[in-house]
Amino acid sequence: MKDTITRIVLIVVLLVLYVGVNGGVSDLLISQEGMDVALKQGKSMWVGLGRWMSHINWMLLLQKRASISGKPDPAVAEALHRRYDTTTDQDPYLVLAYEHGGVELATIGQPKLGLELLDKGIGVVGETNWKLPSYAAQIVSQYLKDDPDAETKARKYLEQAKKVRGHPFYIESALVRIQSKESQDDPVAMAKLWKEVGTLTGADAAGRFVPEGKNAPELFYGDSGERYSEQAREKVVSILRKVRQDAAQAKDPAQKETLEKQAAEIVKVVKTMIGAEHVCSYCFAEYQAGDKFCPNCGRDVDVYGVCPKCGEVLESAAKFCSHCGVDVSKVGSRKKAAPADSSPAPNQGR
Amino acid sequence: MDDVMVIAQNTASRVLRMKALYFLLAIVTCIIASGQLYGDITIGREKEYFLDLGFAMIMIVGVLCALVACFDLPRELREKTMVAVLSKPLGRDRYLIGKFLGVCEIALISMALVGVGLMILTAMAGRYRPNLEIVKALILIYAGVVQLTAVGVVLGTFLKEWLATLLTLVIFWGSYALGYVAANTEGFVQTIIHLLPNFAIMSSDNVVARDGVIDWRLVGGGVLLAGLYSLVMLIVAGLIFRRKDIA
Repeated sequence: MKDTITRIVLIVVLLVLYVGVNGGVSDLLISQEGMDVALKQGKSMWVGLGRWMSHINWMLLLQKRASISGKPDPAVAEALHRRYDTTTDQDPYLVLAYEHGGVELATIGQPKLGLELLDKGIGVVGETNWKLPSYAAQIVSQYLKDDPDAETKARKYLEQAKKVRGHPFYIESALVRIQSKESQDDPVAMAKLWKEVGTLTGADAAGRFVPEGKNAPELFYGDSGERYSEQAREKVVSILRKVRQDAAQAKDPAQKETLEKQAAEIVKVVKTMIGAEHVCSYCFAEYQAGDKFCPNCGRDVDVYGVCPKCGEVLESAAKFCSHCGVDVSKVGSRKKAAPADSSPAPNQGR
Repeated sequence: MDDVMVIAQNTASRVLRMKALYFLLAIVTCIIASGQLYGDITIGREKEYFLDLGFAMIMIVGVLCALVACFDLPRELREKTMVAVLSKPLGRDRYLIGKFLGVCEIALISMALVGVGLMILTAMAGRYRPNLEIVKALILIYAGVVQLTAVGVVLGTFLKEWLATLLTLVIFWGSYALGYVAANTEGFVQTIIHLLPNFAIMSSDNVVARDGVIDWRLVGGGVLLAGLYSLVMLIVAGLIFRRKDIA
């Protein structure tokens, strides 16, 4: 009897210890990078064979897809969707299945099923994959445009895609296309829209934005540290050029004045998108100390960083000119800036 | 301790003498090798496919080996072969420990053989190299198999072969699935789930297939879990077995 009690006490003590260790191991398991997402979602009936079974299902899917041509019967499309669903249940990280399945189901006449599959994928890898929300936006815009909320949904998907590192610039373009319906005739509103859309939010955990891929937007910092895509900045600058061009050609003084005001407004927008101190007032390209003309458009620029006496380029933070010895802190080294909107035409042939 | 090891050795050697075991291992290795042929079909995912297939096969081999405990104990009880062994001055606990260690040895040898096969095939594939992460994943799968063996020993002490096997498989499936649910529960329910064997540790092969690194603490925790759970199950089995009328 005593032995039995001892054993039962021992079992209880060991079980308490076991529960503690098991809790710790379970937490470690979930925090393990690359671990099956089903562990986090709490759904796995596949006892460790899920991924292997998903591979088999994937190959069967490929065979089934090869046999489908044109728009199949809805029952066939639904069967295909079920297969995609099962495959991604077994391996929720099978991104190819979401990508292929979403687009394929939409193109064979089942856009809602395609969207359902893409939503499922977005729930799993949406934070790191821009393709799934971008495909979802395309499906909503192209196949479900009768839905009264289609525009809102597409915009939501595109906003999500824009948050992902390495997304291509056409995500921004698509966003502008959706949002610019009312402001297409207002260049200032368009410039502001491009600025808003071009704000990059895809920073990694360390707060760095690392563009990836050949179509990735260029990294560009604004004057207060926001990140903008270079393409978005280029878009705003091109709007400015067009407004300036129209202002120069306008014969009606009232129209000219309106366009010049618009240009001044857009200049303000561009300047907030530029972090560099010395930029061409016309094309907003950055230039170096001693440059007299913009290296991008050839227009006169506000020269800086030169000795006011001999004109030699000064070393940064120099107190005296290393060429003529003049005290630059007393004399001052900058030439007066040319007004932003009155830059002459490019200096050809210099 | 020697008598425990003798029982373990006898249990292991009886199974290891079976040609069917090597036939099974050869088939499993061939299935893993066939994974090389599917490279094109998987569209650039051949590495994942190959490793997943390998780990799944090793897990199946381990589970089948663990089920030996469900067969062996009831068989010896039925055939009264254990009467001869237990008539000697040998405690029933030691007999159970010996059986448990013997089945663990069978699982270890079988899984190691297929594991080495997986490593060799991985090296032969040329696209990727065998690494320490594969070994860590194998250790964790083995830790799960050890827990399952302990469950099999407990059930084998009082149930018939088929019932013990069926129930062991149900417990394997249920605990595995519940291990996944545990993350989304809390309090009493989570504690109850944590009382069950943790087979979710066998899923760490997912990390290897995705080029991840398995935390050594996880490996250590898995081994500790297997040790603790086996100890509890063996004490429970001892409590049941000592009340059994064998003669």
